[in-house]
Amino acid sequence: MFSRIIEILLVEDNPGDARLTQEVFKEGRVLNNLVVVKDGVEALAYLRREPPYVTSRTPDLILLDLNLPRKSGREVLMEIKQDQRLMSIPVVVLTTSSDEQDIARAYSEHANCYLTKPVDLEQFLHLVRSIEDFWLTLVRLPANEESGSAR
Amino acid sequence: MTPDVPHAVVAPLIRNVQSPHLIYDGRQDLSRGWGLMDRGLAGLVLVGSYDYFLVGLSVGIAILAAYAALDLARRVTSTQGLARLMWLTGGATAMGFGIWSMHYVGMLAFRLPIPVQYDWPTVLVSLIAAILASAIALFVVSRRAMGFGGALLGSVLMGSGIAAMHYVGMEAMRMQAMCSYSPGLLTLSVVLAVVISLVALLLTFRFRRNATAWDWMKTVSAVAMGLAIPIMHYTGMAAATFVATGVRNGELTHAVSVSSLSVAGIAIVTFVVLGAVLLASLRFEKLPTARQLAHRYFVSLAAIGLLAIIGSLLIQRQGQQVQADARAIKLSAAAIAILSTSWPSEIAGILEREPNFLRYQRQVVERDERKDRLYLMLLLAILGGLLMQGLIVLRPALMGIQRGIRRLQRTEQALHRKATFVELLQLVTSTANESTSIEAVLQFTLDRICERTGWPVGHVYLAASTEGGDLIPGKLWHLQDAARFQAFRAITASTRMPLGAGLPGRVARDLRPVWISDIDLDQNFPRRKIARDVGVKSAFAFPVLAQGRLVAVLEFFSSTIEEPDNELLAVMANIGVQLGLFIERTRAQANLAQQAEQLARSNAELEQFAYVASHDLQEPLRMVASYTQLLARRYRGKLDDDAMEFIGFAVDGATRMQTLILDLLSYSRLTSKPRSMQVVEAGLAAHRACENLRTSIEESGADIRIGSLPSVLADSTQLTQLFQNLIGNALKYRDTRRPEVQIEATPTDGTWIFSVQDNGIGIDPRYFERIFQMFQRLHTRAEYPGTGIGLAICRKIAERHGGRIWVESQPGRGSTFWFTIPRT
Repeated sequence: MFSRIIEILLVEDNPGDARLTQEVFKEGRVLNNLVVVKDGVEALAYLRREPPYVTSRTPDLILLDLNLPRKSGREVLMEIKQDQRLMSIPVVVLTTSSDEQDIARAYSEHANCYLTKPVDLEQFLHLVRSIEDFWLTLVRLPANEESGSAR
Repeated sequence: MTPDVPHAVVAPLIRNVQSPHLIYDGRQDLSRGWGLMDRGLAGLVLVGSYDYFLVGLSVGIAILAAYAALDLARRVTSTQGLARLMWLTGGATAMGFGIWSMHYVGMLAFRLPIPVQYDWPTVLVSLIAAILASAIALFVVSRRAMGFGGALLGSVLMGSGIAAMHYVGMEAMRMQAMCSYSPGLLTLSVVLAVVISLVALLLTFRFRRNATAWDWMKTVSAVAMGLAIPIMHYTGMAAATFVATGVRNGELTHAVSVSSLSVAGIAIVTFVVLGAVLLASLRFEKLPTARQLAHRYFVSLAAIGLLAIIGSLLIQRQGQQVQADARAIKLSAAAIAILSTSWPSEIAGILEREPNFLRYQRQVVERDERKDRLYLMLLLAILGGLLMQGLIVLRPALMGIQRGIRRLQRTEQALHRKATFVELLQLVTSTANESTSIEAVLQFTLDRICERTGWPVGHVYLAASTEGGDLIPGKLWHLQDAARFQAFRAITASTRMPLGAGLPGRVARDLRPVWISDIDLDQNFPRRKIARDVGVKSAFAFPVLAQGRLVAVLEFFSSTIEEPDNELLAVMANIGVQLGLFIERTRAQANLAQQAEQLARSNAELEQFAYVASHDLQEPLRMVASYTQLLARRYRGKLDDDAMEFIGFAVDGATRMQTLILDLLSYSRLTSKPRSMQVVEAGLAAHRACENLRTSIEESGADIRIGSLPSVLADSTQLTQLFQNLIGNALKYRDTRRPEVQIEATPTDGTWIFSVQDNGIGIDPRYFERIFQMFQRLHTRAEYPGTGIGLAICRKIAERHGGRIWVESQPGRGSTFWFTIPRT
């Protein structure tokens, strides 16, 4: 359903991880533009188009790590889900943690889904494909006014 | 009259003279607190009260007796020979009976808060004493002349007789108390008896020739004498102190209790006898009809009175005193009513027919002096005998009683002191048991010790934390009068005591209680000057030791000089020991709490570590694994086989390390996480475990049979993991055959035994224990992969559920893992 380039915001402090995710998404099937921000403060600034992100585009999907400097992923999640303009953007928590408490808390803060990053690359590829298939292909999301009008 | 008063009524009448701690104000429950229940009211001084109606009655009897005495004196004077002897004896009997009756009614008017009975033979002896005293009196006054010496001798004899009667009568009392006399009041009562006798003799002698039955002068002197006799009696009663003993004070064989009916009887008989004396003439048949009539009335009244006494005694023997008494009183009252309604009209008739009814015609006659003397000798001999009895029997008895009372008081005081101290010790111990604040318990101890010893000042010196350091004045005080002891408090607050210095220093050095009788004479008392100024005289102090080390010294001060009391010090030493134990316990508890806190902190740290492990250890691992894989992927064909193999090892290592971390994580979670126990269907947990293992089950084609499993109280997640690890092992350690797993449960006493049986490779028995330990593996990773944590987790789960786990197996014949979970 997305004929256009899909905007993805990746919130990840570890450059290695960010790069890996980027690499894996490169091999994906959906044409995407993956923007990386390094912490929670930047993430919110990006979403709210605050400097230095005044020209940013509202993403179609947010990939959120939990352990972030300055402002944690949990806080970012909470603020997104309390913001009328941002709450409809699907947030996929993508983290190394498999802690039950982390999972429970993420869902109680209205995360749209929680995924644990696998160690094995093949499995990671599989996971990214699943995200693409589900969130970027199957799921119908509310029309993204701003990005829609830009097309 | 036996007032069987319940304790509640008795209580306000009791006071105590020995110990300030035992003042009874009616608010405390006597049966508790002082431990006196066993001994009743023992040791308490009993305070009597007077029944004023009976007091009045006794005074009335006394007046009548005096009047009769005056009348009798004249008659005895006017007769001679046998007639005189008879008049003397009969008159003395009547008069003695009157005095005795007055005395007894007076005794009965005195109510003690305990039941009192009377030994009737002793009562009779006292009656004889009264009669003898009367006989002497009559004899003296009926002589032709009475010199002052004779009057004095007569009054001494008569007074002694009355006193003997009184005190012998007191001896007749049978009760659970000891009677002792105040020597001063006792002497006074005897002197009063003699003086009154003298006055009585002088008056009687003066009026003996007055032939008129009713005469103003005679009446006035009779009233004066009648009032005087009770004065002697009640002085004697005041001389007596009754101390409750809880034991009967004498032989009870002849003891009778005197009911109100008996009192009435005694009173009636007395009035009749004395009245008859006034009316009586020599020969009844020669009397005019009017006198016969009057006599009949008196005889009837006397009969009623006697019947009342006898009746009451009989009734008492049958033990139905109260109701029967009421009935008998009613009958007597009816009889008296009939007699008294007809009396006024009849007496009027008598006076009409015989105007001289109330006058006597008498003549003065000569006496036989010899017979007089003989008679007097006889009387003196008997009275002497009685007095001897008083001296020989009564006095030693009284002395013995007084000794006994003193001993009893001492024992009682000692017992009471002991009870107070024991109670003090118990109070401190029980308070210490309930409290967790050392300060509160020390303050409580200060207050209670001051309260119980009556010492006004109590203070605590605290030992410095370093061994052998100074004693530091503590903030805890007990001050009965804060203003008065202000200066002493101030000097104490600024005085540190080195070891051996002052009172606390000495206690700290010797580690035992110290007593200073007179601070003023004590050379080693730095606070002496101020102590003298504020009037602190004596002191004692005792140590509080915890684990052999001095913790505190409790010191107490009195404002009077007190001699060392070893018993008190022993108790104080004991209190010190108890306080020490309490402090040890409190400190141990504080230590325990501290350790628990440390443990909780280290647990939290461990949890934090586990979390960090799950996150931060995995991220580098992922980097290593993922990028080597990406390398292999992107450069496939450009790298040689060696490079590909090396990449393979790198990825394998990283993957294994991740598994290891995850296993460790789940093991550490078992210990750090609180259990959430609920009723779980074990069958459901086993099925869930199979669900989680679906891939391996399908892959191996295993046949898993789950029998009927019970519901148990368990943590559902952990139980699932337990089954999962055991089933997983069964699948992993299979031989060439198709794996078969059988899961069962059997009940035993209090527990369920679960079994997971497989047909795998089995385990050598010597490894049965080892396999449950962390990282213990029996096989190489190439044969069977694994971290060696799975069974350690199983054991942890079983133990956390209050059960245990073990294995039975033989190599090549499969294994059975057993674990138990308590039944709900």
